[in-house]
Amino acid sequence: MAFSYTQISDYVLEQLMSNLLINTLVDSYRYIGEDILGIAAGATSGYVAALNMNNGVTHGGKILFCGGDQSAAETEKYLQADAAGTYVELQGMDLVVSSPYVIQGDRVTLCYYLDGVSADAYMSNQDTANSSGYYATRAGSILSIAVYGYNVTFPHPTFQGEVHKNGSSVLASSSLAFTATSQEKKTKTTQARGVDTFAVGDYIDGFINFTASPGLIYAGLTIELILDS
Amino acid sequence: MIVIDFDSLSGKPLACEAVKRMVMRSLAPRVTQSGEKILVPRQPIYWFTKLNMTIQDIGEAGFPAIGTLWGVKSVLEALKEMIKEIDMVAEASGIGATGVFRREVLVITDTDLKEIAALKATPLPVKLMEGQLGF
Repeated sequence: MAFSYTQISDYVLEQLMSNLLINTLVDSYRYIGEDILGIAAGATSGYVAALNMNNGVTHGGKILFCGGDQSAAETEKYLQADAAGTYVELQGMDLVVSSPYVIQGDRVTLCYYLDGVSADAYMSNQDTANSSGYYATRAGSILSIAVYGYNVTFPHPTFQGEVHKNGSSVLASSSLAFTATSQEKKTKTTQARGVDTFAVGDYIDGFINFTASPGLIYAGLTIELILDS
Repeated sequence: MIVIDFDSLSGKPLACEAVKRMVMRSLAPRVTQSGEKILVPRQPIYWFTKLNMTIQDIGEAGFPAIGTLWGVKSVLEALKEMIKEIDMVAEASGIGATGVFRREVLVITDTDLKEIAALKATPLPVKLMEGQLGF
């Protein structure tokens, strides 16, 4: 009759083995669990709370995917964190997300520049009233607006950049107030995901809103979007 | 190995404290990789009771909630079962059955003393009575 180790009760082992061996065995449980397998301490529920992976030299943790040849997998197919723990790299395979699931968090940046503007205007078409811009093919959130201005001529204007959704302002930058020609000013405003959302079919556009003394400016405007799907 | 007859300790505060000290002495302090301080049993600890309890109930009764809990008819029967299984593994491993415990077994109970002693568990079982603690 043969026994696997896990079938043998502690009291049987204790009676058939030396104290030294038993103590070594008990210590080894935790050593194997934490130091070799990287199972986080305190996982007494039967579930692994976390896996700590870090070889301390070339990478911060690595999962190899073996297709029957481990030596090949070491260099060809793996999921690996860099040594500094700043990114995770999937090597040797495509990442496939089956429908309807998505990778959340992809970002889109809308960049606009107007080479001379002196009245309120949408950035996409320079029209004062009719919004165009990004016709959303996916739902998401507006994360930030960044505005750049260069004052070309007198009078010195004050303006702010705005993100418009379907023709209405939803996020505005602080105002850029110019006091001299050839001045450059810039500002940026950020917000959390989910504060200003948009749906498929919404129009997202940048808008230059002069609040005082319209004068000729060069204007740049960047909108950052994060996509939900 | 420490075998504790929980039912024989019920309602005996002095016995409770003595058992608690004995169990705690059998634990070895260790520090985990994450710095957590834990106690690791240096030998198997078994609790026997006829009551429907969990090891957490043992802790709530004032004892260290450490070890394995068995619900049994009697401690004597449990010890006989242990010897039977030890012999089964010993025979399968080529060591040979002996019908006795091979190493020290500390049995804490107030019953079956003579028969337990006949099982050759050494040292002889300790009888716990209020005001008469043998260790």
